[in-house]
Amino acid sequence: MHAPPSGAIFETACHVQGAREMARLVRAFLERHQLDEQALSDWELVTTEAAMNAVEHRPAHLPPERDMLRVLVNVWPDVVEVFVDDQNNGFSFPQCPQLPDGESEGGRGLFIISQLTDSTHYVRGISGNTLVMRRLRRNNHNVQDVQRGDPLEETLEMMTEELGASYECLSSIFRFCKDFGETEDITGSITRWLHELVRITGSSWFLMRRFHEDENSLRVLCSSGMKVPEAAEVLCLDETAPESVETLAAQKRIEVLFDDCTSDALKEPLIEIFHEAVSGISYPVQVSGQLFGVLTLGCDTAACKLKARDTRMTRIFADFLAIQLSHTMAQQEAASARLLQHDIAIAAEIQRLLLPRTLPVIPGFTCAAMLHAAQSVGGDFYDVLPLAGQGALLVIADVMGKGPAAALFAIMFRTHLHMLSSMAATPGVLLAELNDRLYQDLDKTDMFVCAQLAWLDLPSGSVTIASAGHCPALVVDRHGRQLIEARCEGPPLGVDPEAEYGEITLDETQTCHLLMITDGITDARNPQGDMLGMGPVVTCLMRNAARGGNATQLRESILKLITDHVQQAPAADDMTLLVLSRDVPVPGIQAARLGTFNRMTA
Amino acid sequence: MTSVPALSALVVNAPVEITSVNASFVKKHLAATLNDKHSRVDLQMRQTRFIDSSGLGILVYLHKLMNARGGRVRLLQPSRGVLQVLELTRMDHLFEIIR
Repeated sequence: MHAPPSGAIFETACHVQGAREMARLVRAFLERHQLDEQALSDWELVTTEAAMNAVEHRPAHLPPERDMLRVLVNVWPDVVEVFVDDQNNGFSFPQCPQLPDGESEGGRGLFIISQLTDSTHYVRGISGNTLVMRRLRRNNHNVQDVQRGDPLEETLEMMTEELGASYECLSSIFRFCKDFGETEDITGSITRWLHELVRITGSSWFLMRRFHEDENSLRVLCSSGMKVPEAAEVLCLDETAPESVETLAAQKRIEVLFDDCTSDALKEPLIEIFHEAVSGISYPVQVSGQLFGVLTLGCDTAACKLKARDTRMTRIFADFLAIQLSHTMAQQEAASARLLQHDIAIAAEIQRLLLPRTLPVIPGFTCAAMLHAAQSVGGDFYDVLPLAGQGALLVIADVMGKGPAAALFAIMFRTHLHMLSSMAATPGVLLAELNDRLYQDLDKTDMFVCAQLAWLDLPSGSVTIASAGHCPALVVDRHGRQLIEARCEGPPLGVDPEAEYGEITLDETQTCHLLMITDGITDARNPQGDMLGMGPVVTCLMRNAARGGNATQLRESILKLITDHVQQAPAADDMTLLVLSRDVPVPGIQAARLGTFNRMTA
Repeated sequence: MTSVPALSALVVNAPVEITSVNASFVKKHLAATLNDKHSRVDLQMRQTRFIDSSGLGILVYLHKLMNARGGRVRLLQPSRGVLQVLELTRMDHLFEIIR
């Protein structure tokens, strides 16, 4: 085996000054390894060319954390290698770059690189590419003996080893893909795969932490089996938390190479785990730009150090892991979306079934209703229940929330309503009864129901209104002159177990038209975001009454009012209304109509 | 970088480095300093320690500019490093080099 290399990584913001500075740093580093002046000048030029290329061809609008220029140098006993990373779309490095014609002002960079190095490879990666340049060292003793391009045994050994590792890496990726596709145990699959990474790189251990956004921390997801003490189980990522190798990788979204010296400088949880100095790499695993976690791979400093090849391998594994996770999450999201669509379809069907197919005929009155569902299913509900021989109960309600949960509570509300409506003495008492029956379930799920009941007493012609946190009912006289906003005391159902509900009773002369609406109508917004408000609805109601319109005509007027206001803007909430209008009285036929109603509802 | 007109020749002192970092500046300076009366440009390169492919592009630009006017460019006292780059890219044939 060859001796380990001496290496360095330089990183700077990606601009031409930075690129030039990289080349100076590489030269300074190589000077410390006794390279001759010719080699130093050549490496300075070659690095400048490669780094300038990376700057010139980088994509526009890279996020600052990715818009970095990174150069890695390894000095082996007989070989110097320089890696220049770029974020470009990649290109095909020509096998034998040629000079352009003499009059061309550009196009000499790749030719210079190929002429001054012994081998160049352009490796296209997942999150970037690397230009790998190697050149044999010609030290003072054998500078005359070594011919450029003659492979030395150790160089061959190194390259063979790297090629072998690459094949292992590739076959491991295939195995991982198969495993990942066949199991639901994602963590188990990741653990098995990272064990392979440890084997391929010859490292000692791995530690994978998952990022938890809600608590802004890193928690252990899986490891190569070492015991993680409780104190090192969770790493807080707050700015005030102590800086460590893993938190640095997570916060800055950069890979962090560390050795015993680095670890000493930080309050290092890894030392809590291993009780000794360690070396390795911490690498942020990012899925679609979001941090998924941090992968740390390492070995005992005394035993070995990770080579440049191993750190590259770790990057490849982590990036590939991110791609797999991204696919898996996308599949899970798609499955959830399908499930949600299914739920919404069921809820919509429930909502449709809850509504009365036809409204009952009430002698001397016209009744009309409308429910316009928003894009997703809400919990709006209306009903008109005939009360044998007495009149009718008009109900409008809005269950908080949307989807299946709201639809289920709407079912419960309707069931209790139908059961209790004929037993309760007044609408206020009925609301209190409903609250009593529903409170426990609503409270457990942090939901509530807004409802409004209007009890039409046919013998007297009066209307009694009670409300549970609902917007006021609007009542207007026959001539459209007197408006009453019936605001009744009482919280929504499910808020207060002891709630009592006030009532307002209006006589026959006051209640020619009764309009009950949900707040989806007054809150309807136009494309500019302005709400419709109560004013235009009241105006519409008054005008309809003044011209002797009935319930159906009022419903159509309000529907037009809403359509004209919202135009093409999508509805954010359900819009529901229920209207009751008293017919124009014709002397002598009131009793006959009441008789008809009684027979229908008997 | 300074320019010294001498009869019909323009003597330009090249900077210590000619790279992507200052290529645009050097090009603009040359374009602004040269006029139709100059039949020759002497680029004094004694101080120039480093040149990259962008720097070579500037030399080609200067060569084409003067060629179009029927003039020529001389490179004066280029350092060993610069000379090696010129030779490597076979641009030493493009200019008269005064060592």
